[in-house]
Amino acid sequence: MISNVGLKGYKTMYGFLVPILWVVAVICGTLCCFRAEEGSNSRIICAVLLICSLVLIGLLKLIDQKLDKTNAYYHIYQSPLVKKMDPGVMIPLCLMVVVVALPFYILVVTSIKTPLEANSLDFSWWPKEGIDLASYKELFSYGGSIGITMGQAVLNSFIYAIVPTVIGVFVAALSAYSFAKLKFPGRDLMYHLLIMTMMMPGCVTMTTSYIMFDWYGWTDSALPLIVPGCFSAAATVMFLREFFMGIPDGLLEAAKIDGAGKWKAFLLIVLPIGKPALMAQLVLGFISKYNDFLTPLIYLNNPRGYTIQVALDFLNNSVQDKSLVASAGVFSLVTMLLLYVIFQKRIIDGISMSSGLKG
Amino acid sequence: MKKEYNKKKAQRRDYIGSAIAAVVPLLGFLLFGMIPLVLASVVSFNELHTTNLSEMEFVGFENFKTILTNGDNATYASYLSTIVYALNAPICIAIALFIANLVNNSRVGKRFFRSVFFIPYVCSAVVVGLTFKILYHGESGVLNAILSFLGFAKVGWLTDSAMSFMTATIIMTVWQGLGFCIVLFQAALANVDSVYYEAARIDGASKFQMFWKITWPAISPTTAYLLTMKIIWALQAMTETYILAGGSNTIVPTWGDSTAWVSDLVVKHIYNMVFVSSYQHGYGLAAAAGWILAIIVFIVTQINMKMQKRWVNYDF
Repeated sequence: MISNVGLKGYKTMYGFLVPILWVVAVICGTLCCFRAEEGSNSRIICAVLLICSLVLIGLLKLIDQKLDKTNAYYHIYQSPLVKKMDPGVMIPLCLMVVVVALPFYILVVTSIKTPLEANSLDFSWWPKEGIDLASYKELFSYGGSIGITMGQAVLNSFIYAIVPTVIGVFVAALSAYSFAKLKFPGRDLMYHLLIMTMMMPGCVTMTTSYIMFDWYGWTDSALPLIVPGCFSAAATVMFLREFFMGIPDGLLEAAKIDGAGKWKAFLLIVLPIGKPALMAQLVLGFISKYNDFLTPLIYLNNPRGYTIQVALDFLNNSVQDKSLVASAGVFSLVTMLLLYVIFQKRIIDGISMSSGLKG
Repeated sequence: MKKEYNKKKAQRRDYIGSAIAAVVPLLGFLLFGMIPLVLASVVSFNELHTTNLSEMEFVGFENFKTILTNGDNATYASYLSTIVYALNAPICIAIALFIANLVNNSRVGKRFFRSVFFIPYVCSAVVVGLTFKILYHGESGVLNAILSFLGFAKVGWLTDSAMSFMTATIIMTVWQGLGFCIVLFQAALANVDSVYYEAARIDGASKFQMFWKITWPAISPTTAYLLTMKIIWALQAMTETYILAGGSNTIVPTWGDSTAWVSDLVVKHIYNMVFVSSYQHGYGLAAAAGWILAIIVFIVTQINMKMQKRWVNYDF
């Protein structure tokens, strides 16, 4: 019986210790790459810890292998919850959550520090001088050397992102419906041409697009950001066409017999059925347009038209106050995160669907 | 006879309606994609400093020669920086595969973990860059605070050398890109038929063998896709280094060449050539640099495709 108690202990130790030891080993291994401060032997300590944890992992593994796994008492200690929360999986995952959350935490904490504390050279995990929300107020009043307040910039971003996304997805849906369900001469040829446009390298046309928009007289306005997006892109059409191909022909035939034209069939049948795909494309399109930095940077020269991304960059370059920059960052993220929380499933499904891989 | 004629006419009108609906995206490409593409081909053989094409001067292959022989000093450095930066692709994929495996093995909170890891992906590169600039700060940054708390010397992440700057950028990009890879890997992992694992377990295969002989081949299409996409993105990136180097921080000279900055990836270099007044290289050189980058992207994709034939398995 005593040996059984022993077994229990070993198994528990193995399950809990090994992942912790692995985490310690990885952290110590990373730290060994850094230079120790003068007179400090922390690097040696890390190296010793690293070796110790590796040796311990090996030992525990050896003991675990020697155990009699057929023993009836082997699994007895495991309550359902412990069984579910396998520490070897949970510990690294929770650590990873911390790694993902840390930058956001720092950003928020910096934004609520007083300007003096935020710019001091000491690091603190929590604002010592009290929470100061003045920098958030400044977002709507201070235009400073940038020439636009952050509130207006976010509004601009929204307009520049929503208009081309909504129109673009509608155009793409119409086009995808034609390619998927309607017949007309030269259809396949046109589809292949469209697919070929996806190969166009953006780095080549980046500068010459500027020449072209200058001919049109569109530079210094937001038109180069909005109008091309309204014509949609081949990738969106391709994605939606794949989806629309799955709509049974019989459904459309039935609509036709009931006297619905193609247009009506599109609005009343194809669009409602394709809603998940359309929503995914809308949200993904909005996110990528809202987050775009290079195109607005090239075309927007009038401060009043800046998007939030460009304004953030200019703020970062011209203002020394870190808490102001951080609160602007938080402000620009809030909308994205709200959108993400609401449409989380759509976004993730859209991502895995648009890769075109099965799964 | 008349009726048949009308029918034909109606059908033709029908065709035209469908074709117009279908052709709008293609029209957009003709209007906004084709013109710059043709322009880029023409301009790359000319010298041009304004948007007025009548000032174009034909110089033949001079632009390409200037770039390939490092005629403006910064070019080689920018290509080198870009290639180093592209290392984020394999690193990101390796870590993402590890985490996706863990998430899939977890019996609680699968969706929670996936959602959390995906958050950085929807954040803009600008905000992420600003945040990491605060994190990387030499004195008040959290990384250095932790290091010095543990008794290590502080590191000038963004200011020490080209290598430290690139390491910092790669860490940031990996942090941001993990979510995308995890989502795709998870879908692929969930798709592997558990029958294979059962069979392997009965045959007494070790965990490592199971991964190497079952999981790896089964998810290889996803790995290949991610590798190709991430390398293409990395080669055409600019925002990440641009933001990290921006502001009041001192900017690191690149790879021993003091005339160029390490943050100037190729696309940033092209941007500088045209839109930053102090460079004065003009559209011709920029278009040529763009073509050369496009050719590199094309070659890398082709190599990827060729290599994939050896290790990617589509039979699962």
